[in-house]
Amino acid sequence: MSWAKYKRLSSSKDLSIFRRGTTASDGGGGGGGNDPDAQAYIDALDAAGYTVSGAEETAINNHFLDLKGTGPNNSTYDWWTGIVRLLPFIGTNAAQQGIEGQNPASAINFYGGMTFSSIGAEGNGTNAYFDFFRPDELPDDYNNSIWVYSSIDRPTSGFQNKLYKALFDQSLGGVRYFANYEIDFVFDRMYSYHGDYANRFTSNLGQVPTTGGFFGTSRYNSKANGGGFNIYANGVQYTISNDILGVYNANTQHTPGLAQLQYGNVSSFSSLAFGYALITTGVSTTTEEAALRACVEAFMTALSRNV
Amino acid sequence: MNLTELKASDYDKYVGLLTPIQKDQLVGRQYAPNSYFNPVLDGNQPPNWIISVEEMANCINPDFEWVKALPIIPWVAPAPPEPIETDATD
Repeated sequence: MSWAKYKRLSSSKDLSIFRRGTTASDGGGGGGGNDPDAQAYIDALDAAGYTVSGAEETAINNHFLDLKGTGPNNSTYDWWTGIVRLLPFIGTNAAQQGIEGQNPASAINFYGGMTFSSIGAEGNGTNAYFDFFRPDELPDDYNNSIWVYSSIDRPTSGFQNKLYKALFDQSLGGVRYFANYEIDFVFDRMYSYHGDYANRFTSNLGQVPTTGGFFGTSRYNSKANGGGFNIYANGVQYTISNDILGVYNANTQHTPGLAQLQYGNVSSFSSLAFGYALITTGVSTTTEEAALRACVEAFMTALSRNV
Repeated sequence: MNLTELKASDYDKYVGLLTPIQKDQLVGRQYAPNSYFNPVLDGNQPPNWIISVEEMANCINPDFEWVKALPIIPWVAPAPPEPIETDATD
């Protein structure tokens, strides 16, 4: 999309055809038998100047059905009802890759020098990150999970600009507090940061894997009530011994976003390629995480961006 | 060195140098649809305000064509601090 066309579209707000659950009336990717939400996403990509291939259309449709529990890889779990954000990162520029799968009328913004290709949105390790969600968008303090798929392996050396970091924020305490969870892989350890301190997650299965793949956090109840707050790294579950509480402080620039770590007054940025991101209700078991991971891996394989 | 002399494979090794005034001009402004400039401080002492080479190369906003002519300097990353581990749950 050219700058001039973007300014025309932005000024006219002529994006109403991409409302959730509808099919654009001006053509687009076709596929009359597709899931309506998948079709709306495909139509939005088309309107943004990206022609979805047949293989991509099939992959998108299958994944939307999988999220609803009616797809070829999942007929058990419903991850769609509680969905907050779905980012398949399809397209060749920010306007296309920013289109939100769950609501194609909206698109996220990117900051700094992200690059966009068939493997997704790739950070530069210098200053690039992107919006993911607002803290008040999370459905429930103790019922949410945040997932990403890294399309490339984590660099094993090069501390300067090859950091492997993702930032996750999760709300706590209703509307009053927001905790800041920044999951940091750079030290081969996983932490949740709050203020100037960091709580370490542990696993008896060793260090964080260096391969890319499916990562995420899931909170499904308070520890005191038998729940958990876990990190998953390619199927390995990391746990923490307490319920981390923290106060989200906008003045400390703890902005929810991916590919950025804010620790104290220092920002660091990821050089990973993000092939997929999802926020939905909490995943409470390793079995459910494995089911979701299988669906996402199938989607990434179909898009040829699997590691 | 300027932007046209850089290979794309070397983009992650260099950045564009900003003056403080130029930094203020770029904050909150788009260089392409859905893409915002993000000036940051580098790891030099004293630190410099910089943007990435990707932002310079991919800028299509005619109001900021001047970023393509910014001086190119090597990227020096700020050193991230070691986290302070705690069991606190504040």
